[in-house]
Amino acid sequence: MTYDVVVIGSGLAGLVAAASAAAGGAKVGVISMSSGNLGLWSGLATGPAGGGRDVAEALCFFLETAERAGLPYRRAAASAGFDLLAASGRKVRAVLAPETMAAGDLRGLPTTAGGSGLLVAGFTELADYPAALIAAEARAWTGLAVNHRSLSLGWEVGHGSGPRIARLFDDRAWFSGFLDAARRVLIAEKPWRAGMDTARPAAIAFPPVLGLFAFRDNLTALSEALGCPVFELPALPPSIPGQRFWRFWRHRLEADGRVTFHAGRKVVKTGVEDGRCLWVADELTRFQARAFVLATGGVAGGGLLVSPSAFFAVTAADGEDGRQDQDRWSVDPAPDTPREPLFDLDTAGQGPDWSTWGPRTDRDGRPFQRAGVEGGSEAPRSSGAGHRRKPLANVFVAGWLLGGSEKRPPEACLSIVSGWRAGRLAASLAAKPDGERGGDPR
Amino acid sequence: MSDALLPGACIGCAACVAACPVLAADGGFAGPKVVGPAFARHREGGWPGEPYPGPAEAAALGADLCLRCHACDLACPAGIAVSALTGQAKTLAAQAPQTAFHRFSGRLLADQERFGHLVSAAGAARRLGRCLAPRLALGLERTSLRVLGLSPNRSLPAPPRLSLPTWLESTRRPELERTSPSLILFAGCHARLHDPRVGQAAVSVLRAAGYRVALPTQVCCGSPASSSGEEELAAQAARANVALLGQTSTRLGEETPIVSPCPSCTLALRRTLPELVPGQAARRLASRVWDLGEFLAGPAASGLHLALERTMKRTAERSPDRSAERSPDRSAERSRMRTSGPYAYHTPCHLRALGSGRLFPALLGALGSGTFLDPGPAADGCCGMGGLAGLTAAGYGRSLATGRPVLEAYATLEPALILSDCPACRWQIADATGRDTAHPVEVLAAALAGVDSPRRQLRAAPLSISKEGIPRTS
Amino acid sequence: MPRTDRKLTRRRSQPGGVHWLSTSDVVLDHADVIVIGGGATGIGLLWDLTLRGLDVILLEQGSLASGTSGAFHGLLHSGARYAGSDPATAAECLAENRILRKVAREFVGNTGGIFARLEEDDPAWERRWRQGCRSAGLRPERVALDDLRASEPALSPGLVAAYRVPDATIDGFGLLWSLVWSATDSGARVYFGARVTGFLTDEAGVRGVRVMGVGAVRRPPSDDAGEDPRVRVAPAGPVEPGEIVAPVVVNATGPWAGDVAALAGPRAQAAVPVERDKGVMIVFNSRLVSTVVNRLRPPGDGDILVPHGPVTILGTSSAKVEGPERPAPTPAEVKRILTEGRALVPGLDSVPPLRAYAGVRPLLRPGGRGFMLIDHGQSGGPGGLVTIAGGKFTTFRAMAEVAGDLVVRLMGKKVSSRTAEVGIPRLGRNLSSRLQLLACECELVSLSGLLGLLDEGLHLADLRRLTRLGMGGCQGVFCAQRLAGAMWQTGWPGSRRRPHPDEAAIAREAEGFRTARLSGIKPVEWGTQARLAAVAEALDRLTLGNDNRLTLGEGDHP
Repeated sequence: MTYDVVVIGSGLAGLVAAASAAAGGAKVGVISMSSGNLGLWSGLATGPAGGGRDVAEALCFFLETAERAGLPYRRAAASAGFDLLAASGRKVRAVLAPETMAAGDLRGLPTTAGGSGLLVAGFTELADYPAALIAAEARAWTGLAVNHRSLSLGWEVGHGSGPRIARLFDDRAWFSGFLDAARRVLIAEKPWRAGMDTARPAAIAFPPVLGLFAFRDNLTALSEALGCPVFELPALPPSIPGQRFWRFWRHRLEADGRVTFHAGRKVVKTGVEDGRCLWVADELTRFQARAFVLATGGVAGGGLLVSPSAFFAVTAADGEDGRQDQDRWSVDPAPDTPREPLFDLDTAGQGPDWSTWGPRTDRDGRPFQRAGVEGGSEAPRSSGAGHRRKPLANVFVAGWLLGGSEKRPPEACLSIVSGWRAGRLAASLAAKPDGERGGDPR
Repeated sequence: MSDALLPGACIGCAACVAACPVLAADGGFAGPKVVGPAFARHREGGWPGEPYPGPAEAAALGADLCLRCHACDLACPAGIAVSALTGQAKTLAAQAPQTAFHRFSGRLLADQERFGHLVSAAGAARRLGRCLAPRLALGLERTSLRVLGLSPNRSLPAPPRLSLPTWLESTRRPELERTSPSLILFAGCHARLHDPRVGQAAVSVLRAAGYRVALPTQVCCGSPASSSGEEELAAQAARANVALLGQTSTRLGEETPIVSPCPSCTLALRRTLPELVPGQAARRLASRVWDLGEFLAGPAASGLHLALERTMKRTAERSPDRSAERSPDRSAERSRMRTSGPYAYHTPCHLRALGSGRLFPALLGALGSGTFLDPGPAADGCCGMGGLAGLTAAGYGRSLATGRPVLEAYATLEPALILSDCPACRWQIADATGRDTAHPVEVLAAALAGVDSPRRQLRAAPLSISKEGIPRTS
Repeated sequence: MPRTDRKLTRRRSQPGGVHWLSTSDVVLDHADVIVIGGGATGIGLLWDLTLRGLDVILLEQGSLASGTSGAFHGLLHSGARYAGSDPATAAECLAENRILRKVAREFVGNTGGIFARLEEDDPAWERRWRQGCRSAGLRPERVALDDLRASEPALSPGLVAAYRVPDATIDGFGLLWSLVWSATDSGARVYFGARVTGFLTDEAGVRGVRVMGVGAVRRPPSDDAGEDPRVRVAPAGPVEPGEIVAPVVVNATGPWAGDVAALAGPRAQAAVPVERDKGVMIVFNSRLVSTVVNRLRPPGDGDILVPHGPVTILGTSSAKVEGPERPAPTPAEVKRILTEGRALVPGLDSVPPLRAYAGVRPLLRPGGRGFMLIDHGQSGGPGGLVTIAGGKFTTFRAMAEVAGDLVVRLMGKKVSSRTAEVGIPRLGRNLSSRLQLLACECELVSLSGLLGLLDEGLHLADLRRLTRLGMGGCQGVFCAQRLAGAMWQTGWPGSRRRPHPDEAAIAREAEGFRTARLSGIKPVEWGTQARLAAVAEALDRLTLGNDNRLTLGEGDHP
């Protein structure tokens, strides 16, 4: 099969790249094993995104596409981004947030002492979201007045979970019954805290399960019925917001007609000649294209594989009695780094710093946090057999496969910005008649 | 054990849980993560003093409720074949004690060959009954369904007048086929035994594209058996097909493509068959299997294009007054061939699992054969039928609950036809929404024949038994 | 006011039970015997003495099996491992193996064992080993290599000899909890979070201990019904140690044996010659072999593969350490074990790792894995104090019997041990409804069973050891929040009958649980676990806003 652009990987970066390439006029084929880590993603575009015109354009593109797909995102008014309460009770920052969560910006919520505070509403059957604990943690961490209530869905004991509740919320008849119950349970008859002037909470936070498809209508109806902002909190997987993103974006891209999804395909072979990739193939089919976007994920996404030899690249020197001397460390002169299996791209390892090994660890000490493809997103080099350190002129890398920067591990905005950039570059390269490498207009 | 079947690779991320339509509808199903990798991991070896997990445990986890829609496979970031592991649990659950009646009706559906022949054998009687005393005949059909443990709410397809093999032979034109390349049609039980219109349309299109179509003896692909956990039955079917199709291939040529209009059959022959039948012969067979959409968009594309040109010329010749209006704009000409659209297209789960993309809408769109309505993202999911799982009395309500978002999305549209490659999807959507359904190849066949609507060319529509919108489940 | 009556109290005269003490609890109790140490030896002794009709109190500073017994290999030795170097210990193990297979039948996995020699291993050792087996009473059966290759495809094709021995696996935690519950049902008391700070002495010797609560979770405030009079909550301010009175005290604290003996004076300490030796194990998330596999060579690193349910434990190593607390495995140790393990299982690099942990063995200074019983009254230390030191899990019952014999003799009685005859029931506290709503999906642990255990006051670490919660593929990363919710539902640390949820304590428990699990992954972050760690880190940072959440031991609450 032949396309203008082939995108490998359909997580956040892959979907944004496919949208971006299609917007650039290309016929796009998306080859992927799965929806990547979207099923785990909270839905928040965390950052920082960085500065520059590119970033602004990328974020604009994301917002527009999301709107067209029916899953609108919002950008915070403050430059620092949204300050949101998470389902841990702690705060999390985001550059962009889905509309369902954006109203939960803590900066916008009334927090005065006489105010009625925030109500964390949970479902007793949703064991993953214990409202009382979230409220307690939120009180401790944010200093806000936070209360909690749990609604019972009246199920018999069974495998209740987020997806099941989300399905209920998509049922219009059930939802109108829920509205009545919510009004009764969540709006108290009298003020629930001393010094409050009203029984109505300033805002109500739900788990992110208010419908896989009907969430916009549901939230609007809830806000009207309960008389205050109603929003969702980012929470642990199984992630309904991530599933929404996957379903809505895939549908939009398929319906627009330029993007074809080949799901459940694992690329096992690539055809590279003279620094250009000509095709990629799974066991059955060869996919040809003029430009490729590689968005297979970093270590978290399974696009970078860590073998024991990459893990133990820094080893202890051998002591006198043949046992290893745990106080002396030496760096392997040619350490193995995590492997990028499709093109065997050069990667930077950033494995564990064993010299600071100990039971107390912080996140900076975790191995491979910033591991990624060396050298950036364009013209990645590969030292694999047959490539001989030539840059691959028509392959663009997007997403967490790029790894983090010096200071931080990768964020969701990296996927969005690099995905947009890679898709745009791939489309413009594919549009060139002779397939010469296009320059970046910046 | 191949990597994809290694339960130890599962980190419990629950991405599969987020994607599963059965879990979302039914609290009795523990979900793909538990019934798949977690349960498989426990079956690797028991803990000291604990009973080894067996059929009772598999049934308690609701393993029989999985529809094998493969949504979990397409959600797993580690590439684990979750549905295959769940399938192992289903096979185990099928060994749990059940009433003889449940066993019988389960087996009936798993063994499509037998079921199909049963229905065909009653064909003449059903036709007679429907002619002479329709209400009584319908009532008797409903009672028979109940007796067999199937849901009386389902509509049975009308008994066909002419079987597919007979039609194929009677319409063959050997003089045209002398130099044509051959292909083997794997029609699928539905087209072979219940409703030959799809088979007829497929054959017309393939012949028009310049192929000689052979319909050798074949048996059920085994997909209903796999879906019910009847592993042995599925293996028998696979072995039989390897033998039968192998013989035909020897006659026609080792590289003869095998084309199926039903994505479940394609998936079963391409992926499951080589797992059930070891050896080179099975693997070689599996590598030649094509979905009809893939084939028409692939090897048959140029032949199809030529056929289209021919049709346009014929249409122009037949109505010379229209030729005066012929414009240089080809798409306007093509649009005259438009059947009475608009359409909605539903991607069957198994077609999505094949990963070949939405080929028929692209094909029909490129041919200008009609506009497609957009039912929204909710319609991209599973219709809930699960092959034949939705036919049983117990499965009927469950299938509607599972497929609710999809069925509601189609119910709100007003297409002339809802198109889908999979006969089970068509059945479910027709029963739930009351709309007419067709295989997209039927639209294509009509377009090539230059007729307005595929439905006019076809026999009487099936008598539907229930049409009150989507029945609510308890 | 403690009773000074030292008459033997009969069973069931005081209700038994398990208590978790916090820093604000003061214990005043008395019994016939105090056992210090809640590992296999101490609990074995609790069982042995209770069966003999004595009233026993067990004190443990951590929780059940939080010392050496929580970090062992899961192996019920046949003794063959010691045949080459120490046939006496081998014979002991074999005897205990047979007894435990009888009385602890429900906790023993009949995997059998194999001793296999690779080409590079010294054939002289094989001969020596066979001789040692004979003198220990073992009869290793030669195994046909073709059969072995067929039944154990993961093993290296380079095996040149193999013998079958009656090794087995054992569910240590299940066994120890069943013993605790059996004993407390008969009136014994077990205090977790109880640290002995000194001995009560008189001219005859030891007459009891001083004990402080060290747990962080306060018990719920009292109401009149059901409050245990022996444990009272101190008013605010510095807490005095509680006192427990008993004529005999047994020190069964494993690596802490010397430290505890020191509380009774330098002469007592000098009588306890225990060294500490660190052993590391790697757990792989796949059942690589169906039988225990030992390498037939002089004991070295990475010699043993033990299948334990769906996982395989590869161990072990040996290194002297200073302190008794469980250290973390170092990458050097993990690498060494992995390298050695590759010789037995060539495909080991691509098997998904799960975690690694280390335990501290209490070794007797003269060497070997035997055990030693010290009657301090005869060794210059105070009378009434007994130390049982050294040993291994396999011989815990024998150690308990020997210690129990001494205890009853010191009390002037003649009751013999019944532990070799009385079967140990598996008390799962109603975990049988496994497959309803699941708390831990990876290990199929039901929520309803869990709620019952939470009602009894078990902490998450205890639940983990008993039910294997959080020991599966996700290592607690995805289910900790749900567990916290379950704890709140039971009004933890109260119970569903008398709820008194302490949200801060629950949050700390869940946090600590998760952190401890992630620390165990750290030494094996390759393959699947690299992905798990990366995902866990991303979830922590980006979804839950936990910056620096992986720091152990710091309370970040403002």
